Amino acid sequence: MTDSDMTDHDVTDCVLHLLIVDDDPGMRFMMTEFAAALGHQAHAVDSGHACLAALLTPGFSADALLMDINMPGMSGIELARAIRGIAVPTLRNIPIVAVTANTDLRAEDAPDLMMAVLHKPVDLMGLEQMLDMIVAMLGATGLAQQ
Amino acid sequence: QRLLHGTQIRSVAQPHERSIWGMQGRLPELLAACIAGALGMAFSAIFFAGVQSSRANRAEAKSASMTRDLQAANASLSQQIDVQRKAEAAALHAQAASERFLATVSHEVRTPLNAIMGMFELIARANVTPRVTRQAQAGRAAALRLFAELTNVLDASRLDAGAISVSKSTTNLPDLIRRWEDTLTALVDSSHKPVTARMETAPTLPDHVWIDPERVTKIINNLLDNAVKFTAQGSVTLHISTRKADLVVRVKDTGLGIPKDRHDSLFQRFYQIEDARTRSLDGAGLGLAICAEIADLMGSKLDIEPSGGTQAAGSVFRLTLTNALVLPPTARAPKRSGQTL
Repeated sequence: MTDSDMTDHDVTDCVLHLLIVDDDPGMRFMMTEFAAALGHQAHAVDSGHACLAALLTPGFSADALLMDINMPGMSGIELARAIRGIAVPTLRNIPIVAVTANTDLRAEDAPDLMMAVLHKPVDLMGLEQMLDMIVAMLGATGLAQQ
Repeated sequence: QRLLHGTQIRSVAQPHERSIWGMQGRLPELLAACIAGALGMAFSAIFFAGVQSSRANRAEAKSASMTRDLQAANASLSQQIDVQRKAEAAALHAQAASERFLATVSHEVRTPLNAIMGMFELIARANVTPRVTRQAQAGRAAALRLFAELTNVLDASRLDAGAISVSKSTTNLPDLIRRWEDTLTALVDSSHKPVTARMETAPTLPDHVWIDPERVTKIINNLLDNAVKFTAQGSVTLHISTRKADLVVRVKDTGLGIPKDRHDSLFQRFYQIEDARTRSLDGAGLGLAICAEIADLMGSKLDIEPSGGTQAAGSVFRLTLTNALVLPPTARAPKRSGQTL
């Protein structure tokens, strides 16, 4: 309780730059709107390849990724693996949150790929708690990017 | 005795010896008899040999036929095994296909449903007018119910296939309780019934418990949902306490209550469907059965607390999370709190 209260207090002004990856247009729009409603900025793409392209675009940066797991073509797991394989330190450590309806998927299953799993249905409160956690983590480790 | 026996033999043999030595004059007869005897023996030997060989032949033939029979039986058995294996493979294939189908359908349907829920949530939050807010809340509640039903169908099929796993971790209890409280408040608020949400937590609850937060939250959400659904007025209480090393979560309501003879059948699958025509107060269908099965899978127990004869007091659903207070010494730092659902 006290932990959460403290982080809530600490992060009120912190704006995250999020990269959202989801092949479903509804979810993409919803997640973008959720992020905006929570005071963060989001950029959404529809595939793993588009995500890699965005991450490798000069001048583009993201503090964290929210990625769908079940996507045609490159799955979220494959995408996470590809990102971890890129020889850019910030991408090797960028927090990745898996978004999935699969209740069996846990962050513990692949801790080097994802920091957490957000299970569908994603609601505003669930996303808020997750983003607060990312802010607290980035603040603590000094990894926050611009 | 032995000596006596020996003398007896000798006394018997003596007359015999005497008769042989006394037959000297009849030697040719003896010889003829011997030849006849020898011939007879030879013939009988040949005969017996013949019999023996025909017996052997027959036995051989019999064993050959038995071997043939056995081989045929073996062939038919291996054929049967083959057929069975193919049937088994086909069944497994069909099961895998049906699981894949369910998983795909469930994903394809649940993903846009999530988007619908999210949009309704944003509209409700935008405070356009109280009426629009209520409309959006109703839309969200309906989508949420549909999502839950789909998840139930998928979970039932996966429970049958043994494909549901339990993953316990060190979980921040206050965070989790706050989330359950939020769910209860949201459910009560959107029900628009004269029902109040109440929280009762024991004063000495631990900060961390060793549970599967996703599965436990699923069960609690289901219990809260039912409690609000079947309570016309009064209150729904989420009560959290400990008993020895167990964490006990109770969901109490002031609804009609559940007759004692239905306490067990309520946790059976499709109870509601079988009974829906005869009862105005329906059960919870697949949801409670799945909750009980998942609780069982976690080594926990979901039951209805005996009311002690006060039927009008509503019902108390009790989830006993066995040994939840026992944290393993190597437990990882909690990092997953707040990502339930």
